[in-house]
Amino acid sequence: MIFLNKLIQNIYKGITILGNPSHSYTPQKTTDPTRKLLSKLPVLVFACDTQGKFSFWNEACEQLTGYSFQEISLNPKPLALLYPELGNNPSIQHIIEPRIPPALFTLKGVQKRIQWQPIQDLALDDTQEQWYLGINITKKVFHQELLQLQTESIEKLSKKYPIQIIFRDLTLHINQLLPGNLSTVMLVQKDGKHLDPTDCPQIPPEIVDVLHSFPIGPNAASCGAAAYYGKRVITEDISQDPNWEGYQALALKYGLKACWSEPIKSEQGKVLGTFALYLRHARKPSALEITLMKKTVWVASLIIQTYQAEEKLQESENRFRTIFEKSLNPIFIADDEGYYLDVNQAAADVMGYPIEAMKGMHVSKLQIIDHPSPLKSYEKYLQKGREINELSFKRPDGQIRTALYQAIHISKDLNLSILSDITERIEMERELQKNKELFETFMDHLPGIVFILDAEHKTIYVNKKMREIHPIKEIIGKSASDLFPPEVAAKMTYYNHKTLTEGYQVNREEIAEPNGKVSVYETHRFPILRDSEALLLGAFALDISDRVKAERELEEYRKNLEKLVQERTLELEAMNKDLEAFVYSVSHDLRAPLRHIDGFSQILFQNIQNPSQKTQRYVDKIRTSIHKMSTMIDDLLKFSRLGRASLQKKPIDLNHLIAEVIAEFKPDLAHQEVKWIMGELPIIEGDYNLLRMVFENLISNALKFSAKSKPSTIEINTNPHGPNKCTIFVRDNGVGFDMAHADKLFKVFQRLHTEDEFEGTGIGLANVQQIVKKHGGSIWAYAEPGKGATFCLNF
Amino acid sequence: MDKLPPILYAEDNENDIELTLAAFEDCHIKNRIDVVRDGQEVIDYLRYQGNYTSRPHENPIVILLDIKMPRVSGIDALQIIKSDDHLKLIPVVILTSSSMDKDILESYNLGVNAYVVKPVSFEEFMQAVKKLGIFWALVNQSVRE
Repeated sequence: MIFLNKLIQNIYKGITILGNPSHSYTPQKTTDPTRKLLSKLPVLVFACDTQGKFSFWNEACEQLTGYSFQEISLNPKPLALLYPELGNNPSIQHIIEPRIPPALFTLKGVQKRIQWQPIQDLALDDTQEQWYLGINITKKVFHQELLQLQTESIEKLSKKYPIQIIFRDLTLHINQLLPGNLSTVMLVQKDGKHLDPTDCPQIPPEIVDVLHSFPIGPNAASCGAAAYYGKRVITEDISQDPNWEGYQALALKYGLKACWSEPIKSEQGKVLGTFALYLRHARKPSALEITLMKKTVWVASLIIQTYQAEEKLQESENRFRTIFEKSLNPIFIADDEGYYLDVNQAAADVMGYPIEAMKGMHVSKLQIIDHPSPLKSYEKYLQKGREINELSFKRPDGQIRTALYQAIHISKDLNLSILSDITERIEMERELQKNKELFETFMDHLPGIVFILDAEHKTIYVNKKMREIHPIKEIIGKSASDLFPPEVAAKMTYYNHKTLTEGYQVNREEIAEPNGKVSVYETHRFPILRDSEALLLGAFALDISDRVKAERELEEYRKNLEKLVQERTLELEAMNKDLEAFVYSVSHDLRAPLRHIDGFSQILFQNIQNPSQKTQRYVDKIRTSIHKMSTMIDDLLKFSRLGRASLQKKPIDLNHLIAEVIAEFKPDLAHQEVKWIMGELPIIEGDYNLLRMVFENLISNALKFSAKSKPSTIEINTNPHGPNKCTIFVRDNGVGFDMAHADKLFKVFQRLHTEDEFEGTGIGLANVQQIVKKHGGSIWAYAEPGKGATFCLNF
Repeated sequence: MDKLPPILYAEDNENDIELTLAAFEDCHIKNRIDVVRDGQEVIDYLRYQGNYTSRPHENPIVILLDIKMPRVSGIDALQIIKSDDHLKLIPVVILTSSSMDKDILESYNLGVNAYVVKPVSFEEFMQAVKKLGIFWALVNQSVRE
């Protein structure tokens, strides 16, 4: 029992000793029963001599190592068998050497770590045996290693090591932990259908090549299947697994017999990658190895997720950065003290500074118009935390610009202001306002009403004149029916409609103004078109009341005038009748007394017995006078009759007519030598009898006034191409006349010669002119005293 | 020799009457010349009315009518005569100073038998009246009653 106690003591001490390996125990002799007991102990116990020959190997050892006492005791180098990693001939000292972690030994591919302790005072059967007590610390070390591994990885993660390096170190570490075996971390590609290996220097390059873009699928070896199902896939024997078809030869070439793959999943269960162990032995994983895989996968997931999150953050940061930099809106970031920490290009441009000059600039440097102290304004803004306002500022190049800005306090170092340059807009508005004012001034100075209606006939503009006439507060938006009596409004609506559908209209409208005055307007309505569609109606209405009044007066005058003309015509007609009556009395009543004088003087003379020559002469004088007066009355009658006679026009050959007239004169020309010069005369339209009278008169005159020339030369000719376009002229070589009296030539009872010289009543030429005028022609004469006269006629 | 039918002479101008009568006398017209002073008297004479109810029953051989006369003009008298079935066959001669176309045309339209313009010259006048008298009183054969 003492032995047992000691043993138990040792076991416990041994466990404790692990933390303090400098401790040692005194060996103690044992007896056979004790050996029996020891062999059954669940603790590892073996004994060997100084030569290293094993004399005791209990069942626990056999169980753990898989080697029986016989295998161990008969082996000349049992330690080399147990610890292949320690070389050809390791000594016992190598094994018990206290080190952390204790030396590994691989037993049929399974690595174990045992902490061996010599039992100092245990000696049995006086042999030179040395007893050793072992404690299996494989699990403990493994966990420690795993913890270490995780810690390292997370540390690297926090130090932002590249993901490839983290995984490289991780797999190398695991390879170390499981000597001879290999591990890989594969990541799911962005397409979600393939895997890529992370940096794994210990994996043969030929295999790495295959791992690149390794497909994810239900039959894609271990990793592809693990990623596909999101579950652990254990391939105990690669050579037997149909999923490994195509990869088996390669795996076996490098002595890889088994593969265990564990999917790396995100917290949400999404597969991010796989962690795989390639084993040199075809077997399934131990519980510890499963734990290793689980822990590794956990840390790998953390790493991948962290990196992905960081990538996203980076992406989003980059995106915001790009937006900030490329934004056309000027963006400023300032700190609470008013220094610009960052501005974008647009901001620098609008302020007129280079972007580098803007960074670090203080708000007080800006020349804000109407704000003498930008800093004070800035402070005010900080108090409020946000501000939307308009400001004008002067740029270093002198330009003054106006902008709308929005500032918001986010944090001490993040006062964000976004600015919108509205200079052009304001200028445009100003220009627009100017144009509008010009338009309105122009419209307001027009003497008429101007209004513009929309398509619904609602007023959208009226000028001053309209406002004066209709001092209604709100004309805008009103239609005709709101402003005028129903019948006037109906008419206007009709015109408006017609204008919008048919085009330009001009109408007269009578409108009673509020003051009762009725005015007449001439309204010009026209559609204002866009794409040939009427959008608006423009109208200009001019008060034409005065004009209308004048027109009416004029109309009145016209009517009066017509009436007057009618009256005058009647009067004239009456006068004409009077004249006719007068002529009648002339022909009837004036002749009668003449006839009586003639008659009674004749009777008287007949009754005188033997009248003296003197008496005879007196009677002759009476009778000559009577004759002359009678001729005058006849001529006068003829003259008045000509004025009223109507023309019987037909073509007349003047040659023929003149010949007839001359022939008529010839019998009376016995005592006058006449030289006739005749031209070729035209044919004209006229009244034969009247024209004959004209030429009788003219030729008679020519003969009469040339009677004293020897011979009389009378030319009757035409000169249509002369300056006066003479149709026919009658020229004589007679006494002629003084042109000074030419105006009296064609007047009734006007004579240019004394009656003693030439007979005549002074009516002949008046009659000639009357006839020529009736034919629409003209007559004129030119003469010189003693050199004859020429009478020209133009028809 | 039967008693010659009279010549009815309507003229308001005493001078003309005297000269005309002198002319008739000069050319030996034997017919009685009944002188009336206007158209109304012509009608009264022909219809035996007014001052002429007791006049011997006979139509004149010719009626010499002046146009311009008071009350009823020569033209009007002509119209009445020519539209009266009892009178229209009596030859009517207008003897006037008017040579107006209007008067001439109207007279012929109304059926005048002759239109004579009194010449101003006394000699011509005498000639005209004489010819007139001779023609109507002696040469012309009028319708018997």
